[in-house]
Amino acid sequence: MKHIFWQYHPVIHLIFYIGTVLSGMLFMHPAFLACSIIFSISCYMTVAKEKRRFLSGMLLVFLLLSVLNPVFNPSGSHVLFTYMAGRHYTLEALCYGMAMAAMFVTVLTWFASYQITMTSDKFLYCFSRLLPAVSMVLTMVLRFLPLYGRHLKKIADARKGIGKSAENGTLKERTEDGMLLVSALTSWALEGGMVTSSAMLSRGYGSGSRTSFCIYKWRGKEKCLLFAMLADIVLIVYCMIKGGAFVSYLPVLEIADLSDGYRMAGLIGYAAFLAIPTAAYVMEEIRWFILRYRM
Amino acid sequence: MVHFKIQDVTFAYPDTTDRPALEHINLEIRQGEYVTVCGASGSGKTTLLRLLKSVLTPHGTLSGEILFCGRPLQEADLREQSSKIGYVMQNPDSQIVTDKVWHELAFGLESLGYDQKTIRLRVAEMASYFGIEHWFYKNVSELSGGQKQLLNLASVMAMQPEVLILDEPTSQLDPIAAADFLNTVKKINRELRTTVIITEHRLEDIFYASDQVVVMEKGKIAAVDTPRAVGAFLKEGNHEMLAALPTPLLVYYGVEEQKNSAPLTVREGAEWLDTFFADRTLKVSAYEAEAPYEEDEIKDPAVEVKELYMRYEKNAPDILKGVSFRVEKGTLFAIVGGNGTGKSTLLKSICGICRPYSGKVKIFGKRMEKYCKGELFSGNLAMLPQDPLSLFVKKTVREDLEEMTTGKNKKDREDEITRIAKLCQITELLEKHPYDSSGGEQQRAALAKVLLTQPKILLLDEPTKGMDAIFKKQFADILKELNNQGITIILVSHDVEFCAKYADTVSMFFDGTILTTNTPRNFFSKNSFYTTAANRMSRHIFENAVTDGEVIELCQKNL
Amino acid sequence: MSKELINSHYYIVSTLVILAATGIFFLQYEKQKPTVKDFVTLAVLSAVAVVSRAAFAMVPHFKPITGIIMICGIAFGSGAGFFVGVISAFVSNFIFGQGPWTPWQMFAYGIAGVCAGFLKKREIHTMPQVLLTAVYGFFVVLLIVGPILDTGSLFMMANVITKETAGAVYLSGLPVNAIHGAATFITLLLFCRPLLEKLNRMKQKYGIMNER
Repeated sequence: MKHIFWQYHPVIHLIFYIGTVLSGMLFMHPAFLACSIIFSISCYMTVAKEKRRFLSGMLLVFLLLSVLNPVFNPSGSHVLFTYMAGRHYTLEALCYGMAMAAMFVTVLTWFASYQITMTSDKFLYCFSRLLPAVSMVLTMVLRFLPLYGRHLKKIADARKGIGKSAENGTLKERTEDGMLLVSALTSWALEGGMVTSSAMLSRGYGSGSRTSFCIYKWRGKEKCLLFAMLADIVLIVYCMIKGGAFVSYLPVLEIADLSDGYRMAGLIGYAAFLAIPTAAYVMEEIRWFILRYRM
Repeated sequence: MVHFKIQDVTFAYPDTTDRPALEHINLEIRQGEYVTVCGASGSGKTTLLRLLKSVLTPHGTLSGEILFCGRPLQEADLREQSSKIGYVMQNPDSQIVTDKVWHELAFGLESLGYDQKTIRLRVAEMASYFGIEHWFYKNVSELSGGQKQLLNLASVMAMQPEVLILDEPTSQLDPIAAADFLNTVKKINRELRTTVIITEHRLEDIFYASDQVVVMEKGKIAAVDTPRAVGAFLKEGNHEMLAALPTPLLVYYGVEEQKNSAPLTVREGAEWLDTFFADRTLKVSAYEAEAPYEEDEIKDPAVEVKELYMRYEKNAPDILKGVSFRVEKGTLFAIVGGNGTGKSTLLKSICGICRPYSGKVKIFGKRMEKYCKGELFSGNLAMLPQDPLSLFVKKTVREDLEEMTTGKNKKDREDEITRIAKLCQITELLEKHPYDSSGGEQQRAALAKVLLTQPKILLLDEPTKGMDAIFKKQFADILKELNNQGITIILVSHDVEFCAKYADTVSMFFDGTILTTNTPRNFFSKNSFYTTAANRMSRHIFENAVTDGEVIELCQKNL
Repeated sequence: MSKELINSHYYIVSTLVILAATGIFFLQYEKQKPTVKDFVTLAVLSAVAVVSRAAFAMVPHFKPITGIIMICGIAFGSGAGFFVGVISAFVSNFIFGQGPWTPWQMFAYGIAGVCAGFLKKREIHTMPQVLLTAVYGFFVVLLIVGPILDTGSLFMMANVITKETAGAVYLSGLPVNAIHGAATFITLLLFCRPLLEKLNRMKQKYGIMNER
């Protein structure tokens, strides 16, 4: 389902995901991690279709990484138990493992929703001004992929139709057959590429400086949101420099106290930043609920 | 205003010893004209068109002068030429550069550096003029061939060209999409006064609308004139391009002492027949009725299909919905029907590329599954796919053919290749790269490759797509020869005229099943839309004349 | 704080360095004003490298992508090899899922192209020459490409790197890299000559990738 966040301007998506992924990797403080986990999962839930498999997979990764970390890292002061002739399994290492695992999972979850939200054309829009030729190449590769996939199938079918398929052959035959398919595809693709470049030249590619057309428009609200996001980022960075997210797990546990005003503000700002897609989703639901109720 | 003035142009490709590709071309194209360029393949049509746009001009030596709007073409820079001269090529897929429809429409305008506002407006204009709104946000890979070519046209038109050059734009399209496309081109010419220069082998859709027809022959211009005058010229010289003319003209030239003005469309053809018989009594109005085709009479069918059901995925809709038919040995069995009705899937199911989930396919009375591995394709069955290029996997045509040979020693194998190459008329292509030959040549080389499996049953998927009239005739001769050797041919086609002329049996395929099967005469004389142009123009007078030859014959019997 | 940042955030720092290097390369590429035919050819080859996987659906664990990238490097030099490697890795992640591994894969595949570029001037015609190239490809993957990918996953999963974690990651990567290397070996062995011939044919027929 395409909810309201989905329709925002790509630049907002880009800033949002750079912010979340970077901070997801930087902040090891349990409160920050908790925020990140909660909102990354809730964001993923609002955009994804198939949820259960991914989330259970993430849970497994989390448990595995947490439990295994102390095995590789024996330092820490509170020993839980010893094994293999005196190797320590410590509480600090376990906590550290959990923090690491949380970080890993939250980054993957952000990426999973990124994958759905940030479609290729949005990505290309963001980079087409910075790297016009390279983003043109990317556009073309994305255009070629389905075309080539289909042609590969055509070649395979054509070979089946004259009894030259190695479907039931030995591993060697199948590998050689695959090479033959790729080889035929390459000839066809290179030849087609020359037609493509003629078509590009014929439409004036390279005749002067190029502009980049975009179908996305800035709405007033989105501009406000962008401004708020940037202000929020400044606040979070300030808090971080002040040591607001300081934490150390090994060799002894040390967690920054959040009762300070600015530290608390940093955490709240962080949560607000991460909550943007979820909040947009909830607000939209409420708006429609009211609209329907009034009718 | 004269848009293009071509003065004594001669052009030769590098490293060719024989005649130049173009010799002493003189041509004048005025603004707003619709110019059709026709000629056999290799006559230099494409080269001529490419010379009209500098970036597309191939390497080679050029003499003479090409004036665009009164000044030499080279003086117009890339930017001016890009926007003023639009060029659409043959292959719909390869011309598309980007992955989204909207981006493709904007591509040319982006290259010329227009600002957002202008691009937005132009793109919107194009989308509504060409009816693209519904698929504006789609990925280009989701479009049909016809839509892709329309998108190519629209994205060229977005730059508002004064001249539109089209190089066989419909050769990869089915007839309905092709007619749609050509109608759009006509509309552009009529409504926007855009000059159109087009090469086409489907002359029936454009011949009558042309202001000038240029006939090319071996790099020279054989004739430039109005359609009727060109028709008369071709008739007079009994030119090889005569076969490419629209049916009404062909019939007219076949019958008459030429006192009336020649008919160009089916309507004019029918009216001409009316005047022809106005002062004559109709003595013979029909061929002797043929017995209706009885499938059950076939004793020993080459292929028997029973209640075939097929779908691509478990939850997908059925493509084949209980197809049953039998094909007699040594005949040409044609299956006609619209696009996307599942004709290709049917062929693929017969040769095991697709697996039906229910039903039987019997090859020579034995179920397909009973043939052991490899047996089916060594000497029994082979399929020529729609795209001949998908069959070539080697560096030269010869190597591709060698892949298929079965002979014991080297000599045997070479003999086999020589024999087949001769049959398919590709002897001089053998050492070439498959991609360096023309479309018709590729089709013949692909046929040769398929024939090397020495099949007793040959399956052809749209074999006449993109073929010109001259080559179609040669191709039909090859098929007849194969029939004479006892080979059974099943072909799937959109090409009604071809099936009427050359098939022994025609089947109508619709909505996943075969509706009716009959001899071509019975089949087409009973249809009123899905039939040949010759039948449509003559059905009010003759009961069952189906091909142009038959209409001519019946007319002459009444003289 | 900043010192601490660098010490404990290997992943972020190293990834930024990688991205910066890749970005600088691309900016340079843009400055060279490549001809249309050249960069369409690179786009075509990148797309072929990504799609090629589908031709081997019948062969388990067979990834020809690195091999094809390396052949492009051999044909057109290190720069083009890097380009094709980075683009194809990035685009294939559009299909298989972007993640923190994306920059590392882009870099690793790009490096494979660069390494192959060193062979640019070599003659590869006879069977022994092809075999040698294939062996080279195997070791490039086993000793360079694979370890780069492993380093990426090591940094991703651990902020404090101990001998044990490093050992575990690199050792568990070894069999995967060996299979990857073997696939590259086979791809180069079977496909190197045909693809180079095709590319040479394009060079002659259409004048692409001429030295400037």
